[in-house]
Amino acid sequence: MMNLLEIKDLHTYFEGNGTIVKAVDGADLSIREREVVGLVGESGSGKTTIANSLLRILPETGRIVSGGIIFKGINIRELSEKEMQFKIRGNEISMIFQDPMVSLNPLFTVGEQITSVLKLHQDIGQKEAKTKAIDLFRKVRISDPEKRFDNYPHELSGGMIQRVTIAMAMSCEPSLIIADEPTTALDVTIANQILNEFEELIGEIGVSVLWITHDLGVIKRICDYVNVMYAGTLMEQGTVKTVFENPLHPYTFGLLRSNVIYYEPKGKIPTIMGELSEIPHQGCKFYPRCPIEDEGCLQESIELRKIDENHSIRCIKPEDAKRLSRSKNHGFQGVY
Amino acid sequence: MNNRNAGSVISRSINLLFGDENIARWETVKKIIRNPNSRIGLIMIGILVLVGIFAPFIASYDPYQQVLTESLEPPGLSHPFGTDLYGRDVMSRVIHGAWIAVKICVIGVGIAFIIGNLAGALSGYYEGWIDTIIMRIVDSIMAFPFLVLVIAIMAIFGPGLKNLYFAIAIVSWCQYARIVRSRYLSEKEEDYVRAAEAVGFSDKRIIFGHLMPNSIAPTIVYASLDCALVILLAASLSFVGVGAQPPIPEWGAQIAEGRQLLQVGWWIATFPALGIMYTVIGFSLIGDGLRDMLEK
Repeated sequence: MMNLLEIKDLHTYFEGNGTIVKAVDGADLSIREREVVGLVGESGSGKTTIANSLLRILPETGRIVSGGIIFKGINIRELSEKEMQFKIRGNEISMIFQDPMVSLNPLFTVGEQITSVLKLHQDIGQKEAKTKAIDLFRKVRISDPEKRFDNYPHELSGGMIQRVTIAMAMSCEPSLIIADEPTTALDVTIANQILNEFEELIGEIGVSVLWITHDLGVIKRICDYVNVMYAGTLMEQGTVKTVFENPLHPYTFGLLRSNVIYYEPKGKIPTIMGELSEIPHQGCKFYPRCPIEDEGCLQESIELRKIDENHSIRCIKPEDAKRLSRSKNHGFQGVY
Repeated sequence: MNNRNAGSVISRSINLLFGDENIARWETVKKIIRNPNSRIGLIMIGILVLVGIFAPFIASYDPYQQVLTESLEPPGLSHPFGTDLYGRDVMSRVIHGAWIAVKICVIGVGIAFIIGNLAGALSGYYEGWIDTIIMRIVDSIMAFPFLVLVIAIMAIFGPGLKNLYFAIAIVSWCQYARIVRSRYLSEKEEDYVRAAEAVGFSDKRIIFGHLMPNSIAPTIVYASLDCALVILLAASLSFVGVGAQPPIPEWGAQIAEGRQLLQVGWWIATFPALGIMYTVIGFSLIGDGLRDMLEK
C-alpha cells in the first residue's frame, strides 16, 4: 500500500535572540491510508511542532530547516501558501486541537463557524451548508443538533465543543486528521465517550489519523502504529502490539514502566530520572537519563534501525534493553 | 475571561447592525442600555445628534444672519440665549454648532478609528518589518505634544473645518493602533486562530473575520472617550484661530468671538461653552459605561 504521508528526516527549528531551539531534529514518520498512527512523547518533545510543520502553521520564529513532507506524492514544503490554504489545510489535512474551549472563536455561534469552513472548501450555499453541518453534528452525537447550531462556544460543555471541533475536522472529508491531544483537556468519562465515537467515525469515513498524545492508554486503544518521540527525534516506532509487548528502546521501556496500568508497581512507581532539557550535543539524546548508557552511546549520531519489518529503534544496544525489560532491577528508580 | 465576554457584548452589538437578527444580540444591547452611565450618556448624545440633524428646523433664526439693530441683546423671550455683537441669534448658532460637533466626532474619530485598527492589525498580526515601520511612525507622532502637532499640521494645511478633521485623524490614530496591536499580539496566540489557520482561512479572513471582532472592543471604548477629547481639541483649535473660521458657528470659534465681550455680553461665550461641556460629559459617560462592562 502506498503511504499517504511520509515525513523524512524532518528538522524544524525555532530561532530567537540568537539561539536556536531544535524542536524537531530528525523525525521520520509514515502514515498509510486508513491507519491510525500514534505519536507519543513527553511535553516539549516536539509532537505538536511536527503537526504544525505538516500544515505549515508554525509561529514566525519557527521554520522547517530540512527534510521532506510527502503527502499523496506531493512535497508540502514546495507548495505555495495559496495552495496550502485552498488544497491542503482543512480540505486534505485537518486538525483537532487540545483545548476545545479555546479552539473556537468565542464571538460566533458554532453553526456559523462550521458552515464557514464548509463554504470555504466546498462550493455550497448557506442552506446546504447548514443541513450538512447539522448532519455532521448528528454524526458526532451532539444531542439536539438544530438547537446547538445556534449556540455560542461558551454555552456548550467541553465535551460538546470537542465534538463540534471533530465535526469541523471531518466536515470536508479530509484524508488525514491530526488530533493534537484532543482528549487531554477533558475529564476521563467524557474522553472515553469521545474516544469510542471517534473510533467508530474514523472506521466509517475511512480517514487516516495522526493521534498526538502522551497517554499510552489512548495509544494502545485506538492506534495501529506508534511512534515514540524524545527531544525532537523518533526513538522507536512499530505496531502498537510489538512496541507495547516488546519495547526495545530504554526510553519506551521507561515510559511504559512508569504507567501503572501496564506494570503493576511494587512499592514506588518507577520514573525516568532527569529532565528533557539535558541533551548531549552528539550521540544519543537520551544518554543522560538512560539506565544502560555507556561511552559508545555518545560516539556517533545514531540512526533509526530496523529490527524487523514492523519495528525500528534508535538505540545501539537493543540487547541490553531487552535484558533490562526482563530484569527485576529495571534500572529506573522509584520515587513516589 | 470576563474581558472576552464584555468584548463579545460590545462587538455583538456591532454585529447587530450588520449581522442577522439574533435574540442573544438584542440582549447585549439591552445590557448596554441598562448600565446607568452609558444610558444617560447615550440619551445625551442621542439628543445632541437629533438636534444636530434637525438644526435648520429647530433653530428659529439663520445662524449667519446679522441684524445689527438687535446687537448684544441679553437672553430674553425672542432670543433665549441672547444675540452677539452682530445681532446673530446665539441659540441658533449653538444649535448649528451641534451638527459641526457631531461631524467632527464622526469624521475625525471615524478616520482615526479605521486607520488605527488597520495599522494596528497589520503590525500586530504580521510583526516583523511592517510592525517596525508602523510603530516607529506612531512613536514619532506621539513624541510631539498632541496640541502642538495638530497646530503645526493646521498651519501647513491652512485653517478650516475640513483640514481640522484630517489633522485630528492624523494625530489620534496612533492610540488606536497601539491598543489594537497589543490585543492582536496576545489574541493571535489563541488556539482558535491556529485552528482557523489549520482549516485554510486566508490571512485576510483571519484578520477581519476572527481577530478584529475579538479585539475591537477596547478601541470602541477608547473611541467614545476620544470623542470627548476631540470635541475639546477642535474647540481649542478654533479658539486659538487655526480651526473653524468665523462666521462658521463652531463652538470654539464662538467662544473666541465672545471672549472680548465677556463683560458686556456673558451669554455669547457661555452658551457654546455649555454645549461643549454637555457633549464632553455625554461621551465620557458612554465611555465610562462601556468600560464598566469591559472590566466587570
